Amino acid sequence: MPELHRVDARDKLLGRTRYIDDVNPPGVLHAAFVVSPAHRGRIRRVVLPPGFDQAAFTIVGSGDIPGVNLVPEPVSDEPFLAVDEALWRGQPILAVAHPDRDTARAFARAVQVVVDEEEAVTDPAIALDDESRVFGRELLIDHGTHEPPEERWLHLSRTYTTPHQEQAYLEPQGMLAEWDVDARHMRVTGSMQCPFFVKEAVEVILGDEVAEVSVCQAEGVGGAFGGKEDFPNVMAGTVALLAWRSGQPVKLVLERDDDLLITPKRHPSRITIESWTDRTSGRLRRLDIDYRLDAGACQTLSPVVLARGVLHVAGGYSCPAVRVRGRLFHSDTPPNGAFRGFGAPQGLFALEAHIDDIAAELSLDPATFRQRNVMHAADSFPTTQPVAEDNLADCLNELLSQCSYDSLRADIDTWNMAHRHKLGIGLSLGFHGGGYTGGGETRLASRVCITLHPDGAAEVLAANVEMGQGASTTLAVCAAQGLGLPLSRVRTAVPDTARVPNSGPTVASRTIYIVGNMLRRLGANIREELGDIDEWCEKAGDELPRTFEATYQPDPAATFDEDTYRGAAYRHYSWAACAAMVQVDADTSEVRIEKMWSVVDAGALVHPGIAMGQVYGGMTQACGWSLGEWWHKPGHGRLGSLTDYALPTAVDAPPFDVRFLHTDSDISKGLGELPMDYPAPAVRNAVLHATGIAIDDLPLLPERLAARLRKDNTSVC
Amino acid sequence: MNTLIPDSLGQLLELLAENIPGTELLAGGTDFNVQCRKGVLNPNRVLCIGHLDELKGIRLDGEHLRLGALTTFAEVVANELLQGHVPDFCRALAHFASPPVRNLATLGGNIANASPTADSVPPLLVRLASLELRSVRGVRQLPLNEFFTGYKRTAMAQDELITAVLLPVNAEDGLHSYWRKVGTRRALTIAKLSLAGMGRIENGQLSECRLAAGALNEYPRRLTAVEQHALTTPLAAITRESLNEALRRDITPIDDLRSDADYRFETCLNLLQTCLRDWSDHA
Ligand SMILES: Cc1cc2nc3c(=O)[nH]c(=O)nc-3n(C[C@H](O)[C@H](O)[C@H](O)COP(=O)(O)OP(=O)(O)OC[C@H]3O[C@@H](n4cnc5c(N)ncnc54)[C@H](O)[C@@H]3O)c2cc1C
Repeated sequence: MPELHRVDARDKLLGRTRYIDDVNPPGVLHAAFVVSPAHRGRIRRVVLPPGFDQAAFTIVGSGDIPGVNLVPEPVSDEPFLAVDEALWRGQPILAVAHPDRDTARAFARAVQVVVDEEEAVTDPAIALDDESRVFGRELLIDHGTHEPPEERWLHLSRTYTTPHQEQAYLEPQGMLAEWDVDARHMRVTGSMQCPFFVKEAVEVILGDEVAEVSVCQAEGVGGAFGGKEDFPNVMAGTVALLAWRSGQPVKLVLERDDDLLITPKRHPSRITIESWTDRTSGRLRRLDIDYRLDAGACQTLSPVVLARGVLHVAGGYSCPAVRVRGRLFHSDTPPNGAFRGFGAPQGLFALEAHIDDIAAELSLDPATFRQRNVMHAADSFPTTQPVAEDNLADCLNELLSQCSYDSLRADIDTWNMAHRHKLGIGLSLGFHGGGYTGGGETRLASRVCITLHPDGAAEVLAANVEMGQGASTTLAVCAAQGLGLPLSRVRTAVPDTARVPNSGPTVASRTIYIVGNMLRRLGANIREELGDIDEWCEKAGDELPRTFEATYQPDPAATFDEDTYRGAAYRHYSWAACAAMVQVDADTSEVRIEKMWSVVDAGALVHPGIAMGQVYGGMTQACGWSLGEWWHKPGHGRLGSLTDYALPTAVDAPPFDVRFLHTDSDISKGLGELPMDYPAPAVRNAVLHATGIAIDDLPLLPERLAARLRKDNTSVC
Repeated sequence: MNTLIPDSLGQLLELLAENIPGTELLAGGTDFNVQCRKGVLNPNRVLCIGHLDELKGIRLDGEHLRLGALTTFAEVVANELLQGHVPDFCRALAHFASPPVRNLATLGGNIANASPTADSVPPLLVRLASLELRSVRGVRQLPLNEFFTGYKRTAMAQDELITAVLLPVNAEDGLHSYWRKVGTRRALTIAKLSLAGMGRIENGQLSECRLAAGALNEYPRRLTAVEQHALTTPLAAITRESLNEALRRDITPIDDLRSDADYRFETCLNLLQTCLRDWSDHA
């Protein structure tokens, strides 16, 4: 396939793409949040600051909401604006709007919020250790565990933890609302992943006051990574409320530090794995896993993250007996939310670290141990779903030859004997179920359209946004492939709920896997119906434009029981294997990732360049998560800005050597999240190889490593 | 906020001589803008200096390399005169911030901002740099060593500014050098700690030794106790314990969001050991 350009690249490179910050309709008011200064407590008083012309501001609080003050989420337990209780520091209490942006922000900052502070838990380690903080539904997967483990098996129990991670999209959250009072129509435009979720949020907060809500993606959405799945609901609800109240257009763009303070992050986790392994065969016999997530102050979409987490935490290994218990823990911090991987990275970090810990106990090479236990087609997932293919084993074997694993590991061991700075190589496996979990896709019942226009162009109508990941190109490619037209004849409409069908949210690695495959099939059906499309268009005349529609067809054989957690949790899985080579500095204990290899099976690639970009990007994000990113430091609180938040830069990202397997498949599988899921444990395992020290807590900060080197009294020198 | 653009250095000095409280200079703006935005700095009068030719340029001036206060980090790294005389200094500054920030950030701003983590300062300290300070009252030279007086405090009077940084032209001649900055990532990072050194070894002993650390005290400072110890002890007799003891008198590392006191201390000790070992290996 020829390398294809991205349809959005030129305008973005030339600075022509308009992001929501660039859009200022006449009379627009700029909004700002007044947020809770306290982690928790009763809101006593809100004192508006003197020295401002208060008549010039529109100010709204929870009492001004004509509809329902609960953000629609899988569990709708988060108010748009705080009522009497402050639930976390940074929780929006009021929203204000003013014609001048800086004045709005200065005013909001100067509002005095008096809270009777109550004791709060903001340290994930404390929250996750306290079983009285469990809330929401507990999930249990229990398969084959009726027999007790045998005495002679190796029994290992360890606890692994992971920190918050900030999505750090390049463009902060931003939303614009325009109120047409005559039509009672609220028009919302902004930076978001899920236009139809946003539409629902605006309908909920305005209730009967609004006759129609339409939501459109801003022309440019500067990155999201999951961070614009849930919080845009709060943004949109708030600006819509202000626009309805003031009668003027209202725009809210968060400052970076506020975005960091207020919006959801990746859930911190604490995962205990108990394993039993047959010492003779080196085969896993049983896994008992306690999977805990710090949900923050409200549940919102955490139950769904928990579901994906428990379904991935047993890893890509064949194990006859698995018990997974998944629970959400409450803390007085912003509700944690969606972030690329959605519960899978936490689980795979723990499991893949544990795999190396077992291998070390058995004195087996971690590659050998993985080869003995990796899933094959005859195996089944802990949900009893049969494994359909050997592709994970293929990825592992290809990886080992790609990085010349055996000789590289031996060379490293020799090198380390002569050098102070230590090298190490580590492995990990990963997989990701495509699309919504369980019956989610059936319930979503996504619809897509393709319109043939009189000028001969085909237009893709879908709700999935271009947020930098390339969807405007790849969705067009899928349609073009089905229609048999060149890409130059196919364009993707900017998602606007007034124009496009609901093809579901831009989440869950589902854009290509669900929507793309639907478009390809719809295109092929159109071609079958019309014959040669050019000829047909020429004759069609008045019939154009003509729109064709398709609805998602669930596989009746693939069912999932959400009570027992048995069945097909996902229809297709993407697979990957990874190796990381690190160097640990003898003086500073800094870990430098020297190189990373990965072999990925995501089925047929719609666009090889964009697919590669997804893998590079996801792996870079995983490098950051493994080495330096965190938000809360016990005894010191939280980072208030990105100054010290160690997002990897271009020079921190190692050279990547990535290969794709099984690209001749007839299906394109999910790829968006997978590359974030699995690289972090490879880094941890490489550090273990380099130093002999197993760090069970991310990130692998030099402070942590140095303290362990001190305690263990082994020196890397 | 009143922003003024003086026509010349002379006019700038006149404006400074008015001694109006809350006056700030604006050079590259890479500290200034960040601090204003965060509300740390609330100047009521800003004097722009970035355009003043009198503060620019790198030249040889007798025994000194004279670097105008507006010299950017990018200019230091690329300057042939500096590369010829003080190549290790150029290398040390090459990892500062990121390319766009290096194009804006000035040496004068880095020093005047007086942060404990100012990355140019330790390498300048060990090269015995001095500053040229100017006011309507005249010009004076002050060893950089005497410039900082406390956390974010300097010996610069309210009507003065830094006009140049003076480096001895032979600052690196026949000397070993060392520089290591430890941050939270490999670029665009604020130091958890840093260590700079210049030394000469004669007959198994240091005959010259200057060491300076960043981010380990309220301002970047020479490690005088370690220097003294190193200068009076044969290299073979310097142990980790003896360095440890001297270093304890020199630095006061803290626990903060960025790092931990223990880590800072121990890493500094490790770097010192490596520095001395590297020098003696190449003696
Ligand atoms: C993204 C980023 C990364 C950074 N990375 C680093 C880093 O790696 N290492 C590091 O040390 N710093 C770093 N900094 C901080 C900053 O870039 C440096 O301190 C820089 O050298 C400041 O110079 P400037 O010209 O921008 O100063 P300005 O911001 O213009 O001024 C800073 C202060 O110095 C005063 N001042 C400026 N010039 C003079 C003068 N000639 N005489 C007297 N006073 C003067 C001003 O009044 C002001 O108070 C970084 C900053 C940013 C934004």
